[in-house]
Amino acid sequence: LKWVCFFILLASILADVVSTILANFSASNLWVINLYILIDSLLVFYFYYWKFRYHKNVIITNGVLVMILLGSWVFHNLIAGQFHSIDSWTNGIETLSIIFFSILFFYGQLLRPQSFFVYSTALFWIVAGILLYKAGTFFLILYFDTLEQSEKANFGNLYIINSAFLFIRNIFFTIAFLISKPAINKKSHSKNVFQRP
Amino acid sequence: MILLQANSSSISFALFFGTLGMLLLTIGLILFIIFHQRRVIRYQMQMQEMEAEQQKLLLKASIKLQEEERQRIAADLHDDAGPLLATARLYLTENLVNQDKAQQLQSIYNAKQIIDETIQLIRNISHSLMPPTLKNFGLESAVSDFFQKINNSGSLNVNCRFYDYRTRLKPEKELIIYRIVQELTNNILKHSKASFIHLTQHNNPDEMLIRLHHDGKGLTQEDFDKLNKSHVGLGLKNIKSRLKVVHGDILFEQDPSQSFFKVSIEIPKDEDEK
Repeated sequence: LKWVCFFILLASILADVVSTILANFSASNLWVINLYILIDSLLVFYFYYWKFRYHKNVIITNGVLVMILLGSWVFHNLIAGQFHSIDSWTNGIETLSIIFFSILFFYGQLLRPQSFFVYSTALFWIVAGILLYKAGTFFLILYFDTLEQSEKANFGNLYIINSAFLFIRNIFFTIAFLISKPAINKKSHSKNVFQRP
Repeated sequence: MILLQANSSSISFALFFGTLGMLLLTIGLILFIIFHQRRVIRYQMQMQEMEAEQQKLLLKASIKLQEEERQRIAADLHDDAGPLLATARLYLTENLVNQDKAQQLQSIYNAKQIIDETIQLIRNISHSLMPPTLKNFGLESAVSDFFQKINNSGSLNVNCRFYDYRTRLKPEKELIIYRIVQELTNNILKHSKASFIHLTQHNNPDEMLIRLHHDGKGLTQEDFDKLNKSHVGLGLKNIKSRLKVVHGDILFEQDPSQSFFKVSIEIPKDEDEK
């Protein structure tokens, strides 16, 4: 799962670099953000698929959400041709779903705590990072469609919100990487929703 | 939708406060999880400690019971069997051959009498460890015998009724139940000033139920739990530890009419006892 986090980090860095370069050349960088949101959401969905893989209902919900996300992205960008805008509604729903999965993970921790210090596990920092980032950028994504054209073009002003939460999330991910202790105790209860095989 | 259709300044306002709200909610949630989880684990640890303490008390009670039993047997052997055998030995000294025939016969007869007495004594000790009625005829007969002996004293009315005890439980399980019934009855005799004790047995598919009623001063479950956690009430701790061996359960309660107390014992059956 740390590899998934690594790819999420890599995607965010690449998106940052490319969008900054495009902005410097006065080119539209919205398609980069658009693509980044898709990749980031898919990776996070994969992360939660892996976490909840023994729970049929969660897996089905996860699958349906990924289908909706992909279908909507294809329709919005390729069929409707709005590659330079963000599909606020679909991304908003996906963000809410990811927030829901994160809360579900923490609920599992409450039901079956595995260590005295929950923050001593890498998994806690990863999920906290995901939750903070998605919660922080939820309104930004939701309201993006309603912003004035000038504001959209000047996305950089609002992008500070995204950057700030991205920064926090990446710090959390770094903490997760630095924690050497395995995220999951292999001897834990078999019914635990976060157990590894 | 209304929010989405609002003007630009209100959108910025909503965006700012929405984001701030989400941030606060998330931080609140994470903090709640951290503190709540620690509280849950602390509570679980306390429970484990209490359970360990309870186990320790039960173990102590069990060891004390064993020691008392050993001391009793040792005392019986040393104080009763020892002198009897020593006396028998006196009758059978080397000097016996020098005695006349009548004296010899008298000495042998006396020694035989003493040895018979010793045999009876050892048999009694053995029976107190494992009643032969229980071994040979089962729990129903053993409890009936035990109650009959109490009844014979004439101090109170004791009776038992086994409604369905066709398949006997395992011998070690029967012995444990018998000891529990003995302990409970002794407690009632010693402390309750009851005028009657009535024992009933019922059979359920998965468990056997034994219920003792008496009209004396009894215990409630609360009293039982309290005594179990304290350092007194050795007999009750033994009941608890014996029940633990057979995975049984016990419930002390007062009848709603407040006129008598009852003790219910549930013993789960093994597959071959059903």
